[in-house]
Amino acid sequence: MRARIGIGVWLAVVWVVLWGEVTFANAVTGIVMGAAIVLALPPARRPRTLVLRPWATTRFLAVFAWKLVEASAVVAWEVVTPRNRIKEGIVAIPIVSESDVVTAIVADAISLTPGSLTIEVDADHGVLYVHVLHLHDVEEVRADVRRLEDLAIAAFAPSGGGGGHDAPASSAGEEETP
Amino acid sequence: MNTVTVACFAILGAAGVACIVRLVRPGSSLADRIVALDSFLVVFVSALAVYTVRSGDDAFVNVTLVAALLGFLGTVTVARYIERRGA
Amino acid sequence: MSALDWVGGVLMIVGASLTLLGTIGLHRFPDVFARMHAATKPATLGTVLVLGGAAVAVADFSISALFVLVAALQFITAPVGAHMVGRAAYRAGTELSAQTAVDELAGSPADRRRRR
Repeated sequence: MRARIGIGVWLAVVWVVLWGEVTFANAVTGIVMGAAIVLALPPARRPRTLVLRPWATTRFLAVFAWKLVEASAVVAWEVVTPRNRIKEGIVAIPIVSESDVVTAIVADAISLTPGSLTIEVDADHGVLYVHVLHLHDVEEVRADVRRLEDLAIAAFAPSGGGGGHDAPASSAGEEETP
Repeated sequence: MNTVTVACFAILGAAGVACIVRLVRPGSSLADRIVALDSFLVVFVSALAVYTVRSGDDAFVNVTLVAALLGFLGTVTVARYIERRGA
Repeated sequence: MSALDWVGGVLMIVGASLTLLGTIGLHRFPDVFARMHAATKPATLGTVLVLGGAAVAVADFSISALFVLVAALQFITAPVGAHMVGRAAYRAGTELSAQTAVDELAGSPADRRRRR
């Protein structure tokens, strides 16, 4: 229920921004439109709780923004320098969080961090497959992603702290052997 | 500000040409082409923003929003097509 | 030029240059997945910077608000789009370039499941 109210408010804000001026008429119309759309569409079958802890969220966003700048610099550097230093690879990274929302946010954030792009998400086994541009050390990539995920869990996980460490250690071990 | 906007137009124009070349090049796969098209739309959105700064005319501001949305929509649609039919 | 104009102008130039470098990467990188890295990261940051610079330099607050909205939208949708194309290209069997070192996705449970 709270999620739907949040979506309604967001729609009203976007409506007002699109109209340009914050007048009483615009605001009222926005709220009416937001409410109408939210009421007309059926609620999500599995309600997803999204928690926003302000301080942790700010830290996550700050790290995320910095990594985006770093990523663009890495790619720009690679484009400009004549020598081709690309060594690609696809790395399997186990996810510790049980929440779908956190996994989605982490997968999204990974795609904007230096040299990595989420290719495949295995929800049943809790594994994320990431394509890496400069692959020197597989464990290092995993550690980077784990750090990002910890920050995301601290910021967004629904019930205090992330899920347990139920990531399948065995299947991660299988993928190591070439 | 005038020189700045002209410089931006020149840079974005070159970026747009690069995207178009990748789009029509015979060797590209379908995935390459849709990424190039999405990049072209992104360049287009930036160019519209620069134009708005240069001319003070707000006619194209809503077009930026629509172009961004359509770019995303087109990318997702072609991605699903590639999954089914191959690149 | 006022101070706001300077800030906006610098942001726009930097953003545009970053976008240009990204599109050059579309040509230089060896295979589809690398090219997606090149297309999405600098282009997204570049567009966010250009839109941010434009939002700062334009006198009208409503236009600035809309540019910020478009920038936020671009931020959220670009990685998702890249992921979908990457996933589709991999599932369609696109060859990874010869410079690939490790491929842990081939033969894993996810791979086996979708090949069925």
